[in-house]
Formats: sequence, structure tokens, C-alpha cells
Amino acid sequence: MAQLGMTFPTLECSPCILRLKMVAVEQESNIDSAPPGTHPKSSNLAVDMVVLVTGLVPRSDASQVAQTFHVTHDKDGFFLEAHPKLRPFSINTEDIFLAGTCHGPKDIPDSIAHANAAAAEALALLGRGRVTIEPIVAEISPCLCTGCKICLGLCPYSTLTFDAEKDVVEVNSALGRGCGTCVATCPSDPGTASHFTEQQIFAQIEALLVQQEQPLRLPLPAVVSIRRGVAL
Amino acid sequence: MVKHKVRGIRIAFEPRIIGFLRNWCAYSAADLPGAKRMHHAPNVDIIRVMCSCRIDPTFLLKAFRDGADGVLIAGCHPPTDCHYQNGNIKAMRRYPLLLRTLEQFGIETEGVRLEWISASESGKFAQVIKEMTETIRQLGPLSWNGGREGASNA
Repeated sequence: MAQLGMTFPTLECSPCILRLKMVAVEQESNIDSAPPGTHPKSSNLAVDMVVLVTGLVPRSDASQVAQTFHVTHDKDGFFLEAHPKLRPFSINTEDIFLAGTCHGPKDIPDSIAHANAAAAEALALLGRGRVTIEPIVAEISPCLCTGCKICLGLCPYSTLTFDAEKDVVEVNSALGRGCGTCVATCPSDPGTASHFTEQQIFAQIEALLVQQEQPLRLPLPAVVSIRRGVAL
Repeated sequence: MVKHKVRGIRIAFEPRIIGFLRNWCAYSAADLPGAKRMHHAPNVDIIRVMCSCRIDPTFLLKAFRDGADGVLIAGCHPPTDCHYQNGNIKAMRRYPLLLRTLEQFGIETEGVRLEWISASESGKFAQVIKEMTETIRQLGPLSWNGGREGASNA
């Protein structure tokens, strides 16, 4: 067992301090009832070692880091992974990996395993020599862009850059993730979100509504359609 | 039940709702009631978008012009659930402006709903669809339903 005076963690004691086992205190027969006059919650418990563990909180500058690298974080401030089971070490941005307690409270072996996984994933990316990007990214037509720069501040991945010489915004398609916020914001519609273009979505709306309209289509008389807002 | 007349014939009104569901959460939530064999109103037709912030006001106007009676926009729970960091917050900020635009077009805003539905909340999805269908059934068909013929002539 672990001895006092040793520097923790040690290999000998790591199973006992790092694999904590929750003890149901109410059912522990070793607990004596508190003597009169003492704190009502105090009790005597025969144990080999007591390890005090304080709650883990993220670093004070974690939110600043999250903002710089565009990492999402949970309500406690820990960085969120892309998928809790399939991609626990990467975030939604392909080129940034999480390792250790920035992701949430972890013990030392878990942190090391997490870091190993992140390093392996980074090496795999480097070893491949090329990066496959998502096909769904926004495109901006330079002919139609007016250079109003509204989209610049909205992009969560810093994909958009303003070309002052041409007075248009350009998309770095390697960084784009296809959320389409810039396309929805654009007042002059030069942007298209690949595979989710305005024409495609309009065609879906038309197809859905015309399909249901067919059985109802009775021979209508010359009804004046009340369309107050045709000029969209 | 509200009935409306088409060429003198009273027919029962079934609302048609277009649902813009976000790919990563609400779209999966829409799949689940089927797997769980839950019943929900069949009045919603689903269009998948990558993020709730992709939804342009013109999508809604187009849907209403083509004969939809209601539109549902569903995204993931703010503030942190968004797959694209904060798309749901952008959608949330645009929503009041969208409602104001629709009001100016003479569309009752009761027919539009913005809901936060995560991938596991199939019950909530079914509930929202049910409530919306009931609300719109009470409201009746949209009065400026010009139909597709009018739209193609415009």
C-alpha cells in the first residue's frame, strides 16, 4: 500500500488513488454515530488512506482560448469534443485536438491516454499529407459581392477574408464548415452554400407543397388571388 | 374543425407545415418518433438545413407563398449545443426580425415557431408538431394563399 512521505502519484499506489471507488456511506458498517456535542455530520471511518480531492475548474483564461481557437465549451467552461464516443479528442475544427483536463476532469492515466489519442490523430493527419475537406462550404461570387463585410464578423471559423484590392470577400474553402450563416446574412446574395443553395431549398419547398396540392386542385373559377406580398 | 370553401364545397382543413430542421439535432429528433413508434401529426414536411442560421427569411416567404400554412424552425439548444459554435444564437437573434417581416406581409406569426430540439428529444418534436397543427387548424388557411399558378405568373 501507499506510504506517507512518498511523492504522489507513484506506480504502487496509483490503483488506489486514481481508481476511486464510490462508497455508499449510509451502508458502511464502520461508521459510528457522531458523539454528542460534535458536528452532526462527523463520523469515524476506518480507512487506509484519505485523499482529498477538490473540484476541478477550467483555467481562468479558458474562455479566451476557446474564443481564439473557436472551440465550443460546455456550461462549466470545459471544451467540448466533437463526439463523446467516436471523437472524444477532437473538436469540430479538424485541426485542433483536445488533451487532458481542458476537456473535463480526468485522472492521470486518462489524461495520458487522451493525449496519446490526440497525438496519434494529429500524426495521422500529418502522415496523410493531404486533408479531405467537407464538400459543404460557402462560395461567394466576386461579381455580385458588394464588399459590405457584414459576413466577416459572423463566420465562426474565420473563413472569410476581405480583399481590399478587389473590394470583395473571399472564402477559404479549407476552413469552411458549411453552416451557411454568411449566406443567410448576405444582403446581395452572391453567396451560395454548396448543396444547400437557395434554388435547391426553393425546389424542395415547391416539390413538397405541389405534391400535396394535387388532390385538392379542383377546377377553380377565375378567383382573384389575394397575394399582398408577391415582390419577394 | 375549421372548414373552408373551395368552389362552394366545404372541405376539412388540414394544415400544411414546412419544417426547417437542423441537420445535427432536430433532424435526428424527427427520425426518432418513427423508431419509437410514437404517433405525431403527419402535417409536417421536413427540409434539412445544415444549421438553423442558414435559414433565410426568403425560405419562409417562399413556403408561405407556395401554400404552406405554418413553418417550424428547429435548432439545438442555446447557448452551447450548436455544432457550428453559435448558429442557434444567430438564428435566435434573427427570429424577431423575421416575425416582424412576416407581420408586414400580413401573415399571422402564430403560424411560425422557433424551437430548440436536441437529437434525443423525439417526444418534444412530436409534441411541437401536434401543438402547431392544432394552432394552425384553429387559425384556418392562410388568406393570401395565391397558389403556385399565381407564383409562376408573378
